[in-house]
Amino acid sequence: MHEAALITAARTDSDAFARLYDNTAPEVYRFAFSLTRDHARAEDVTSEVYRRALTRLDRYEDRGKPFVAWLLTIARNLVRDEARRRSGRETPLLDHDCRVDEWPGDGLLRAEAAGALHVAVRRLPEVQQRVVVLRFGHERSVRDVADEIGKSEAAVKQLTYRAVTRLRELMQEAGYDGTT
Amino acid sequence: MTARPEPENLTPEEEQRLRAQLRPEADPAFLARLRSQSRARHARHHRNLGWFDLNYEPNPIRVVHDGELIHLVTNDPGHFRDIAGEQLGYVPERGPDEDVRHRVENALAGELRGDTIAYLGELPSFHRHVLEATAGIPRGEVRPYAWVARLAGNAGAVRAAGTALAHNPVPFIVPCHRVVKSDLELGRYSAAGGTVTKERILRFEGLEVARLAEMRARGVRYLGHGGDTFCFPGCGGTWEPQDDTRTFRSVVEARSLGYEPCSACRPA
Repeated sequence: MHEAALITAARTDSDAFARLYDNTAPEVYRFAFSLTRDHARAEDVTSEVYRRALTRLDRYEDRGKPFVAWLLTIARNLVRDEARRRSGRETPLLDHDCRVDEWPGDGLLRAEAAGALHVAVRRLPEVQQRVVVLRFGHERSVRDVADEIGKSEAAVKQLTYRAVTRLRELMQEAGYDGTT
Repeated sequence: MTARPEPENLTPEEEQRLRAQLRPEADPAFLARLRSQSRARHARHHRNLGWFDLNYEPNPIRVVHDGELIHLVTNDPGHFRDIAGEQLGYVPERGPDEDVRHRVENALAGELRGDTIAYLGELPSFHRHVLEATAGIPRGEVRPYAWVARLAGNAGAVRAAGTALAHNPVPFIVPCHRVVKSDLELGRYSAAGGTVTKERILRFEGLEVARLAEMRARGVRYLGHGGDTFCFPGCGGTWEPQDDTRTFRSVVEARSLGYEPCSACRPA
């Protein structure tokens, strides 16, 4: 089905809405993660995007862009609004969906550790950042990374070694002993 | 030749953590859950639900669905207006059942697919984990509330597990009737008919209710098999005592005699 027809159908038909979801959700998530750098927040943003899309689909106008662009705009606005709210309040909101077996602090600690890791990654030299993100974030092979950044495989291994050593130091400085 | 591209100075734990935290892709389980949640929400918002009746042998049931996911099951069609109004916000009409009937029949026969139930994505996560743990109890067997709470991730939340089961939107499909008290008493049941219905379904499924009551009277909680493993009574269909069957009143007693918990029924 052509996308425009699918969108029209999705205004009332749940099958069509589910198909729109299938066609777009992985990309919406990747975008949300690129904005938040945190899996729990990216999940929250993605959930909210589809909650809003459901009630606003009637007002969607085809302006010649792919439908997913509209969803990404909703995601961007959500992240921006959340950043505004956060800046006005010190205490972060607890995840409403955290498991009750976990002391609420556990989730926060993990999120904090993840946040600290992203801060640490950003403090690495640019080329080391790219190596770490490509190799671990995107699960690319040493060979792929070498091709992408235009260095030898040995150089990529060397950069990974240095990056990991430095990350470990940065995480320890930030108060994480490697068990979090 | 491709060398294994692992950096030499990473521990496996560190590597796993880096991968988990830097990976830009969504967790497939999350995407599947959100799909079912979004579809279910859409179906309710646009009132795309319909129902059909199924002549399930222990008692007839009415199933509300959106063409793919099951939203509500009740064995009390006489009060359908009240039940639907309260749980769905409106009263759906009878609708075509397409292939949903087949999925419901499979689920009742013990083959529940993970993406069958609409509600799991909308529930608080502990409730969802309780229903998922309950869905894993085999036909013809029972488990205590404490077991369900433990498998749902919070061994202390026995009462909360009971509450989650009392609000099970899809009884019979998620077999909350297979959850009993720790002393093997059948306990309460929220569907119409209460404990009488519960006992009738369990008998229909092949549970030896009389033998369960007899063990309960003797204070037996677990059975030891083969000199090394202890189980819930009925695990794997074994009700008949063998020569080497032992009975235990507690996990502590079983363990003190060198028995380890069965990996299938997970009594501890």
